[in-house]
Amino acid sequence: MTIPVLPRVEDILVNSATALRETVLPTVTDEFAHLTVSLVAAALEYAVELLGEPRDIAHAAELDGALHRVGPVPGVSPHASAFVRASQSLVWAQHNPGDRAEEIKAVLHPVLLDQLEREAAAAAPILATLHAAMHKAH
Amino acid sequence: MAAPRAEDLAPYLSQVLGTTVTMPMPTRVAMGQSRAMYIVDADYEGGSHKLIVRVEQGGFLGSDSTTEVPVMQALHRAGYPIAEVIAYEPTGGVIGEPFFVMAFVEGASTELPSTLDDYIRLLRRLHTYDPQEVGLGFLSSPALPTGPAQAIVDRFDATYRSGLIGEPSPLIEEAIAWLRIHAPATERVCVVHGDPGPGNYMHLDGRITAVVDWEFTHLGDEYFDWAYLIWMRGKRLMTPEQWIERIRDVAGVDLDPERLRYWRAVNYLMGACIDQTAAKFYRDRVMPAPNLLAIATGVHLSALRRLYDTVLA
Repeated sequence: MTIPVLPRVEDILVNSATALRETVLPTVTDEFAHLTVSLVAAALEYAVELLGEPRDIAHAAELDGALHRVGPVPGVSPHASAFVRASQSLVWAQHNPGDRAEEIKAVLHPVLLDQLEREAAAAAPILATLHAAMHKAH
Repeated sequence: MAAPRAEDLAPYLSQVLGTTVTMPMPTRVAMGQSRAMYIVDADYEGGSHKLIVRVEQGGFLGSDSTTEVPVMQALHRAGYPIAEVIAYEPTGGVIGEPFFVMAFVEGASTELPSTLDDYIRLLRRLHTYDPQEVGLGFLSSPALPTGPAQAIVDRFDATYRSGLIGEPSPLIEEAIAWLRIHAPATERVCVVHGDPGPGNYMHLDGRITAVVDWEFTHLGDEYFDWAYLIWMRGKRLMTPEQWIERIRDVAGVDLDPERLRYWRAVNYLMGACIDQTAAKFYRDRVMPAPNLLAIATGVHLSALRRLYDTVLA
């Protein structure tokens, strides 16, 4: 006996989150347990989003492209990862103000901010859950 | 991280207090992030005593009780409104993590506008203490004029690096460089609460009964606290301009806007860096609590965005 088609990870996560919200949460009266179950449901939904899109790989590739546009920066190893090179380039820019520093920031900041905004949007539901629970606790 | 059990806590407290202590199982309360907090009614010396057990979480959020407890004890002796520490177990040998037990203080930590003036006066009182005179001479005192800024940036830089998972965060690295380059002068080293404002003090019938959460207390620049009060814990209650005016009227402190901007950025750096530790704890499965995922992502990014907007934009 085999299972020709195994359950999909996404379905397991989504259904688990739904079961927690619709079946478990209404029965939980303890405040801390309620907070934990709410956050676990939100964490499962965050995980579903991660399954659909490996965003960290995309972020590194975008940053690598931006660093190519920036060009060589003193003291920055061309063999390091994109995040290391971006960090070193921006720190160099802070220590060496001027046109070159502004060029570096003008290229890297928009890319990093765009990534920040996308990650913030992905984390918004679980953050809202945490805030609501904290507000209630106080 | 297991919950403290009555069969472990009661014998420990019996030994510390020199009397027989009995108690039911402590109940976790849904407050605080860096510590797990439990409440329990302990029976000893012929009466019931409501106690709070504050349990460390393996250094989560870059803090522990090694300074928090002696700071609380010193300020309690100085007459500052603060819960009395009953016992401190720093080894982790009793319940698996260091913890301390403090007296329960009646009150709520909700935002109550009518208590704000009293709170501003209390914060000012803290800042005017002579650290040596109130028994806080054991805290490291940074050298003037720029030592307070440099020391706190160094501290959160170390916290950030302790929480890194493989890759650095370019905007945090850049902000740390900016803050080191632009460190402002401090005229006087004072006692800094480190996490001040609504939510971190208890009040009852309009009167403040205790100031709580002393884990980030250090000697440094009072602007750290004022900026934190204005832009972090107090932001829902008044605009920054209203806060600055209120602080001037109530405490007689005339805050410099540019210096406030710097310390506001330090506050955001603190948030981004201590939240970074949640990512590592979650990934290493040190703590399975789902709030760590929220802190490592949404809370961290929110602080990072504000840090960028304050000094890098």
